[in-house]
Amino acid sequence: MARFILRYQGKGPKPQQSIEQIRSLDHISIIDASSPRMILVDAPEDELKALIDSMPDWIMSQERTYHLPNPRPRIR
Amino acid sequence: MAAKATLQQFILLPTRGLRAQETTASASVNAFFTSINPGAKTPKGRSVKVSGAPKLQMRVLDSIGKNGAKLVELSAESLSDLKAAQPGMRIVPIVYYYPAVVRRPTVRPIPKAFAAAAPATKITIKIVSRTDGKPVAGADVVAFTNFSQRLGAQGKTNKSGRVSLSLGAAVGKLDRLYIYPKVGFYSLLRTNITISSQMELGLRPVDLTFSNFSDALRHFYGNTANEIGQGVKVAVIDTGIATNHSDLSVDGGMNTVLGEDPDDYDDNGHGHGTHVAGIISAHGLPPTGVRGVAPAVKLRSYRVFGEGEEGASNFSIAKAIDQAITDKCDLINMSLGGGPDDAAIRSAIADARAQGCLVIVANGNDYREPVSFPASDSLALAVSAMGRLETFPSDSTAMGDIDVPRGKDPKNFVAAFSNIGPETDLIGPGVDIVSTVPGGYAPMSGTSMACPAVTGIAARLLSTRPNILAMSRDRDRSDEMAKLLLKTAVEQGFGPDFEGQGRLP
Repeated sequence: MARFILRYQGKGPKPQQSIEQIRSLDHISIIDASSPRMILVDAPEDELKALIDSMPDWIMSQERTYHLPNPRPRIR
Repeated sequence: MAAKATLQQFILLPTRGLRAQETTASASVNAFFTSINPGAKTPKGRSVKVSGAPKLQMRVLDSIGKNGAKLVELSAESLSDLKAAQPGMRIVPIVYYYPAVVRRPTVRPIPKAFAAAAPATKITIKIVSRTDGKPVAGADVVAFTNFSQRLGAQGKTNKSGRVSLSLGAAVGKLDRLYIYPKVGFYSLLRTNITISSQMELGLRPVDLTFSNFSDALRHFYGNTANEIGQGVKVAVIDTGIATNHSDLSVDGGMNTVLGEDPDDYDDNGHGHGTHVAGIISAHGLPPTGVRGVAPAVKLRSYRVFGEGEEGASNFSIAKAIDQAITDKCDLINMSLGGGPDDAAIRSAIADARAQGCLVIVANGNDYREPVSFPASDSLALAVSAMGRLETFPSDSTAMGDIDVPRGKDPKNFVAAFSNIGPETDLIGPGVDIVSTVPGGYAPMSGTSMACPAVTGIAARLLSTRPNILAMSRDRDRSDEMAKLLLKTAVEQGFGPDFEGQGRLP
């Protein structure tokens, strides 16, 4: 399973009802719910996508990494 | 005769969704969307005027409803002017999708057979200070035997200033040798060097009096009075800031890296965030310290790179943006990026704009590649890097950053490493900029340095506009802030793909 960011795009913090809906998904593991607008989860992608697609004002994005821009020439 | 500008098609959108309304766009954008409609539908659309951009030529080709997304046509060079006139919109290039047909196989040339392996050439390089001969530990040494192919070896000097490198067989010369010290010295570039088994090279110490030359930041912005930047709160989303540096005052912040202490927003050891912070608001003075461009801002540190980590997750970054908004920051500096487009970060940037906060992002350092994400998000302000001749030593690695185009002042140049493109909004000094690092001071180059130069001057400008700072924290506020910056910028003569609206004065 991969890690996904679920982000609420409506007004204010993420609604409790939505949080309960997400928690109820089979095989989901909540990694971080401390942010007022986001939850980081570990879950099967297809099932998670189906759930999020049914929830207005929520988007889903796979967790990925960004780096510091480095202008130095690098050895290949 | 000037070449005719190439026209391109873009989609104009409110900050969220497809239709401009109270919850998705500022009053200015709402009015703009309603005012530009294609009229009777023809392939050529309707020419429209944009208030605040008298030279802009744009045609509206189509619209989703009266206040919905617009398909427009204009030159890429004009995009910067459109964004300056209406900074509160998302602007995305049109994208075409095609049927996923299987490609026919192609023949690849077979590589030539390799010669029998021969023993590698081993060398030891010692790095010392030019003034007292003491060894320089922790310096990155990158030796190219063939620079165009990027072949060579690299290592870091030990406590006695030495590094051993294993090069290819029968190597007699180094094409290029780069030395990057961590603190206290300028970098060094040597070319076409005859190899010996033991080599010693001296580094020039950083002189905080700038008695031989000013760095580009001080050349353009001088030494700043201590009270400049008052009333403005700036977030630095980065590797953390060294809270014990004598030239820096950090007002607070958060570590959003999963599994780390949220209260540990100190520099993770990399030094990048500390350098960025110093450009914005260091409050030291020569000869013992440095001064940033807005020393009186309230500086907050949001660390998104973990201990010893080279990467930051999109979750940490979005969480840091959210926290900076909650903490009522006015400006967010992000000298990071280069990964794929991401909905979570885009959404967080949109939230920042919706709550009166501007996100300023470095273009990236991929040598004239397109502007990286998240700088490329049209709701962020994207910053490219410029340099100036005679603001760094003649044997610094910065010599390799000199490139065209040159500016109206031919001593100014767009840094060779800077990404460019129509998403660029502003340009800032980013070549061999001296600033704070853990344990002292160092020069660094990159759009990472240009970005906080812009953020710091943005804070300077905003601090003189209490009427804007006093606005309710909503889209109208962030739009007014963006308009102030984009309209105040001065063209440097590089062209909009390289500089957007120009450099803040």
